[in-house]
Amino acid sequence: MELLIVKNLTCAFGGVIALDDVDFTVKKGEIFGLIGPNGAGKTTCFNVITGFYKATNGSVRWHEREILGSTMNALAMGGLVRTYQHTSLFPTQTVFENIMIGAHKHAYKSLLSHLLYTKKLRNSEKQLSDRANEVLKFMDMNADRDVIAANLPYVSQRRLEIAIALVAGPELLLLDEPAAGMNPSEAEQLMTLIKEIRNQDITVMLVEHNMRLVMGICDRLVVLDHGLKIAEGIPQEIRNNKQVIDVYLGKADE
Amino acid sequence: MKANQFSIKASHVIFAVIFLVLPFILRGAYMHNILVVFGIYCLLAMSVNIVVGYMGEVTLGTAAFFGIGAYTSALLGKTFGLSFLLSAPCGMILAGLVGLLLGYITLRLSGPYFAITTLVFAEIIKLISTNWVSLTRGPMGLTQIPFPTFNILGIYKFRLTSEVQYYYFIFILVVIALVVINNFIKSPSGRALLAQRDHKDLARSVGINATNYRLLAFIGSTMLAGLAGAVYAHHFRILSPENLAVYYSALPLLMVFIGGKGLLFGPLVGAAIFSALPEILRIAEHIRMAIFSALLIITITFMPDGIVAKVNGFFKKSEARHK
Repeated sequence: MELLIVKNLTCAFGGVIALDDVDFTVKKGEIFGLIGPNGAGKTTCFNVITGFYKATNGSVRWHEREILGSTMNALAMGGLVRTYQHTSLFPTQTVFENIMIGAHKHAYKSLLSHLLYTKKLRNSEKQLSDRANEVLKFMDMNADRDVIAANLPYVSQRRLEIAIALVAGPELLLLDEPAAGMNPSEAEQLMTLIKEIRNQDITVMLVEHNMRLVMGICDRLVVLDHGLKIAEGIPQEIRNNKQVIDVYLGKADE
Repeated sequence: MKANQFSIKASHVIFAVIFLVLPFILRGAYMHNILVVFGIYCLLAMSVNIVVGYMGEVTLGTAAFFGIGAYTSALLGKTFGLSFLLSAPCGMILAGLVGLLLGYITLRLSGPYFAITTLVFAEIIKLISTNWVSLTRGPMGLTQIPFPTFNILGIYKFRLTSEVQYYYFIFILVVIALVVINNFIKSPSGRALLAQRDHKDLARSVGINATNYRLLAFIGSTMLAGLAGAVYAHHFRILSPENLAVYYSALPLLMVFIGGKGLLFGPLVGAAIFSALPEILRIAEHIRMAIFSALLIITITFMPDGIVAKVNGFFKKSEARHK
């Protein structure tokens, strides 16, 4: 099933064309990679899809619905959740509190119950708390649950970001350079994690520079360069694609 | 076990006892008048704390809502003889509606743009109160505002006759406000509000409608300021457009910054300082503002998160040492 259909996506900032008529499709259940050299427009593409930037032209269809122009929070409520390239956490809160915030979508929203702390809210908060604990267990972060996010080591912070995105109930999870700053063994663990996420029925789309990771777990890839799509296909094809090789000029990690 | 509701901790009990016992330590009508002012300042400071501490913005418009609450309750009491239990909520509702308007105007604003817009808006409201003479009597102001009267179901009617009684009544209002605010902050709405304060984009990415929660918090803040105004009106029993001056926006701001923003008791400590200060400084009346400013500068330099935060820090450190 085609989950996300991107057609003719164009995003221009004044004279700079960050995305130029880009097409690709993400299928449900796959791990989809968006790669390309620096400045290719990968993060711009993420930003446009998730409502962070406005597209100049084109269409993005999610479950048959046009989502360009939707607000970021509406998309998240609809199952489209992203992580950020730069560490994005709620720094003054604990790991557990961070995840509780991430679970907002599932919270009981009645304002009156919030002001009065009703029994219904109490019960709902217990459920929310259980949900948060499940994610903590899945991510093996329970030991750190009371650590203030700002005090976590870098890799734990990156994992917390993923945990927050997971608890927000994504159908499609967009990871923006999740392996940035990781050494090979950490990246290896990340690969396992992403596969486990996919096993939870979550479709994953990632922007990554780490070629070993990308080639290792992605089912399909799309390659961008200077805002243009230059290739789309399975890792095997992309690996042997002359244009892709030229564009990277051996700049790849591996 | 983490109790979410206003859990009765030792510090809360101590605070409550101090509050309750104050009128007996500070005796006489003069002191009791200051205590009432302290109560009003508590409500004002809590109002500003919602915006500054929990929403993450600086508001310079508090005076407008203070004035709207005050004038509304005063006029309803004078003209229709409504009891405080009716006139004050009306003042709060009107303050909330005008707050909704300002909230809508500042929807996409933040930081200095937000602050300036609230400042200008408040000045406009002050101009309206000065010039709508047929309603507010303009610069002549309102006099002979009724004492706070209570009319419970038409059966039990009474009037508060002393400052002490009014002070205890305000104490009840402050406690109710504290409980409601605490409930809110610990709830999903409160979490969402703090989340958008700390990282707006991340909050949006997990489905939080930051704009909605900001609007909600702002309206709550203006309603509380309106309540403070109503309480003020029936105590001092005269009002003028001067009650909508920037002073009444800036003062609670100082209370929150110095007492401690984003904390439950921070604003109360700030209110205490600023109700006591003018009396302590009575000899130095003319340099009062200079002293307020000096206090602000000292706070920013040595305790940027406010007094209560600093004190909490001491307790946490000693806790860590004893572990």
